[in-house]
Amino acid sequence: MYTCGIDVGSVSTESVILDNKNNKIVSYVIALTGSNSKNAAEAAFESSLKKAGLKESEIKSIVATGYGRINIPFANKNITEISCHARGVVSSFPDLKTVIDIGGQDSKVIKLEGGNPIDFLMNDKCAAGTGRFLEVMAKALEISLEEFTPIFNKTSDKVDITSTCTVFAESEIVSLIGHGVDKNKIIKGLIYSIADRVTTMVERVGLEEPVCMTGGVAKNLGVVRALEEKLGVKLNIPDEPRITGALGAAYLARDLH
Amino acid sequence: MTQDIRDTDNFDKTRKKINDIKFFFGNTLTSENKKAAIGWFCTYTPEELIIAGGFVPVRIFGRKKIIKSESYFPINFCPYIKSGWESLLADADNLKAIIFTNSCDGMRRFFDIASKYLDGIPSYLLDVPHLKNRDSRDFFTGNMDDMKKFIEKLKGEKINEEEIENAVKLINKKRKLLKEFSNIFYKSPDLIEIPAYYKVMELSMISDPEIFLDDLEKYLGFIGSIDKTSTKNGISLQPDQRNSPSIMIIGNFIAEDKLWEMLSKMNLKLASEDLCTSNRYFVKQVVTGDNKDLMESIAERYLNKPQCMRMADPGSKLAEIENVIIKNHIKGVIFITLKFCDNMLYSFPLLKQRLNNMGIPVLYLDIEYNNFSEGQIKTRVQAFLEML
Amino acid sequence: MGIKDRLKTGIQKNLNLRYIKRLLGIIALKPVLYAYGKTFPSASDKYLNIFTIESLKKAYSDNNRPIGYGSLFIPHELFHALGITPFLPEVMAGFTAGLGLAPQTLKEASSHWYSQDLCTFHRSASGAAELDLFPRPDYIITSNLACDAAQKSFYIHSVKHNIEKNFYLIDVPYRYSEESIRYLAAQIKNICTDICSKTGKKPDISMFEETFELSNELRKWAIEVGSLRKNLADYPSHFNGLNFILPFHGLAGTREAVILYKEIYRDLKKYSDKQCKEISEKNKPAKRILWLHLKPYYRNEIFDILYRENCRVVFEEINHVYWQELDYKKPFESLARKMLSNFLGGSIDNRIGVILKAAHDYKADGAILFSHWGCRQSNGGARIIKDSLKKINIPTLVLDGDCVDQNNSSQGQVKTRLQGFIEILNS
Repeated sequence: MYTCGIDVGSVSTESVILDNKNNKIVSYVIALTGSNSKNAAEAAFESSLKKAGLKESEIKSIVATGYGRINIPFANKNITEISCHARGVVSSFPDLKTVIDIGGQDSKVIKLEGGNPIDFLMNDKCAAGTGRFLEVMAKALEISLEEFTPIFNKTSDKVDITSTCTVFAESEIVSLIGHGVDKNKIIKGLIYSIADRVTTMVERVGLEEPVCMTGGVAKNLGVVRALEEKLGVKLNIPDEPRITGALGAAYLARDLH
Repeated sequence: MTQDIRDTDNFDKTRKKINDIKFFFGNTLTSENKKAAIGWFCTYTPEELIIAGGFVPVRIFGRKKIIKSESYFPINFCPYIKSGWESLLADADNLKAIIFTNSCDGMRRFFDIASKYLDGIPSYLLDVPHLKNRDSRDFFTGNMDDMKKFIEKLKGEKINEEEIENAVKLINKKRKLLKEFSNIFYKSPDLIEIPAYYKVMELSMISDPEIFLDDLEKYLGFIGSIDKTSTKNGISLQPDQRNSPSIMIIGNFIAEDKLWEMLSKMNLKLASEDLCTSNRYFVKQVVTGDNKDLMESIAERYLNKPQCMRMADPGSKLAEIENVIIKNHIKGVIFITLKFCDNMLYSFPLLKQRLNNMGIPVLYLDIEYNNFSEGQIKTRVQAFLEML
Repeated sequence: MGIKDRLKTGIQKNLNLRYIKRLLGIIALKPVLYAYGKTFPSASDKYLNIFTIESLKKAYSDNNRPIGYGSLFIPHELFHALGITPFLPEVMAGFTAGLGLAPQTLKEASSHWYSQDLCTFHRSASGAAELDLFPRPDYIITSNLACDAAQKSFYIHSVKHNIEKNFYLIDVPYRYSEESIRYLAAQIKNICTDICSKTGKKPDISMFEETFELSNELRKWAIEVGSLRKNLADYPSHFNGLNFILPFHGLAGTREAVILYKEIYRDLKKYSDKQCKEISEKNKPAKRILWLHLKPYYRNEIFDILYRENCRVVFEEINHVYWQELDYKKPFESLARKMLSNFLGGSIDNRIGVILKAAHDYKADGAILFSHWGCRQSNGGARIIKDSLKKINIPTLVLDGDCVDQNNSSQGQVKTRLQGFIEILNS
């Protein structure tokens, strides 16, 4: 038997198909959401079926999550990304106490106890401390995001970025560039600034180990390193941190029966 | 040009020396506190009682990057309080006790947080009325009595009348000399630089008052000695001759070194201020008299000092500001507030209206604490000064 | 389009004092008003709306002068005893949200230099005042109780109308003590004497007799409602305990408030009797939610979601009857005691005490603290509240939002948080 989890985020949509017999991921797909979340969910679902070589009828149940979860008619149930993320990480790290998820447009911290969420915090109407922040800055610096980690590793010095707001931070770095400040130092400063933001959020919920980081930004090892330094803990990262929500949804779909 | 008749080299040398606060306040800066310290936040805290109890009143300036504190307070909450809490979390052990006031909603909650989450350090909240009349003075006198009992408990014995009298004398003297110093500063901004001025202000609130007064007296003595030789080498404490407009700063807890440095570099002529970190602290003496109750006199001083926006009567505060503007020929006002200070924010619509009627332009700035973003502020101040 | 929507669009299109007066003139006519009342699903909602409109009609008509602006936590018995028609700008701010006018009033406030960091109840009220949508006040009474915002924003109203001399701030002390009561009672007495000298009314304690009697009657029925709710397993979907702020405060000391609270009692009693019969058919008991602080007053999905997900708000902190009976023979002391008993004043322990007791009495499964943007006094205590409830194993959701400005939060985010919390409650 198979179940499917679909996480419809504001930037990307993920679909994961789970084999219920051995709890193995049969296939997963990560695609852009675009302007129509319903279509994105359908497309992601279909291509994950295709990848897995399965027919729709072989999927026992589907759980939708993410901000577009309400609008997926073919899902059996919608469950918030809080529960799905918690379920998703627990599958790889059963004793986990804290989840830090930094996605493209939002970020959240979830506290767990015995594998169940007991408290959470989601970031507010603000791109600071999300993947979007890094994207905007990379554009302003005319550097690709992939270069951030190597630059972080080889640069010893940093420039303090005082603005926490994305818009203000952008103009701040533009002016730093204007003053001829070394771009590498700016990048290092930016990475620490996002780490500061996330640390604040984690402090709000309370940090307890073990901690896991998920979401697209978890792939940026510079940010991971800076965050580990600020929090003073080691961060566990799943093999594919972007599909945590969808994976959790697939597990919860299994539990529906 | 005034510069021509001055001996420029000599002037620069003297100026450099005057602004060397580390040199003049060496004792204040290096002396280890022999007496235990009691922390305070709000200028409505009667320091006299702390001193009378044999303790050193130390204002908590925070100056810590806000990290842990974020988990105790909302995002949109007074940054001075958050930063103050951060520093209490880091090193409250240096303090014997902490005095809070119910000056505003923020402080009220700050006291709650400290009482709940700060182990082992006693804290006390002094209830400060919002009204200024006989009844509120009597009520405040009673509250101060209650605070006195708290200090006496720490001291282990009663505070006597003489100890309070001596404390009043000491703080009155500090107020008098700070006032003198600030007058010199307003009149000769080209001599005393803004960062040096506020450094002295800060020291006045965080140091053993006796040692500080000693240093301050010597410092003022030095400044006075230049005055005497002024006609000889062209250095003068006469009103500034520069053609820049006189500016008044109105704010709350503004203690931002980078801001002061920035304003100083821009040659801003700061001719008057209404700040919690300056004149609202030192202006107005405790007036004692044979027939007057000492505690009552102290209460009277605090309720009638230049008032914080928290007080009941914004009308008299506006009148206070208006007088200062006229008296000091102020040409522009910089209104600068730490973010999320409701009392300050609500004062602005009326202040703006009043200043408009007077034809005085005002620049509105709100800032964080310890996280000064020079770029944005600089552009706005510069444009404002150009406009004047 | 129903009558409510017609009202809304009418006023949105004609946002001025004359139109408001005209509208109130029509709708407050008895037959129209009672026809309007019939559109509500319960007697309590009907009377709530009728009395609200009647009180507004009174405040907006020049035949009922003097008119007094009061902030929410002053004892409005004072106005009623003095024969002053009360008008509550903070409650009006709630109406600006409900009528969809807040975008305009808030914009107006911004253009008068009210910072966006300030509470929208006060900002929206100030914007409405700047748009001249409020009746001209003769007196203003406010206090520093609960928060700093009212005393400050109300003073600006007094400047606008040139009545600084008729502006009174009741300075409420921090601690409940005999000295505090004396200080406070003297202030209230002075205010009464001063207003009487201006209105020509004879200052005499007998004027408090009827008002206090009615206020005590309201208190009694509010307590009855509370006791009834302690054992109520379910609620009608239209019931929302956060709607009764105006009568609970502004109408305290009037016959209307008593009638209304009796109706609330009857409505819930009827429902609970019916419910007793049906309770065996229900297999899953609802999750019991304790609601802290206020709610959004614009159209929103929060309570629909809760209801749909089988969660019931079993008590709202603001409905706690915190004061003792008033004694008209000691009017100033009585009112001083009432103000000092308000759990939103002084230390957070006062509020925690009320919350923990309510959590216990109303058998709460979870608590939702609606974190209204810019409310320093409430949000500043969120951490302690959450920790205190955690100690008795009650999870708390601090739900960020704004009671007045619907553009200050996204419905989607509110929904996700709410659902996430419900999932935690059900796990």
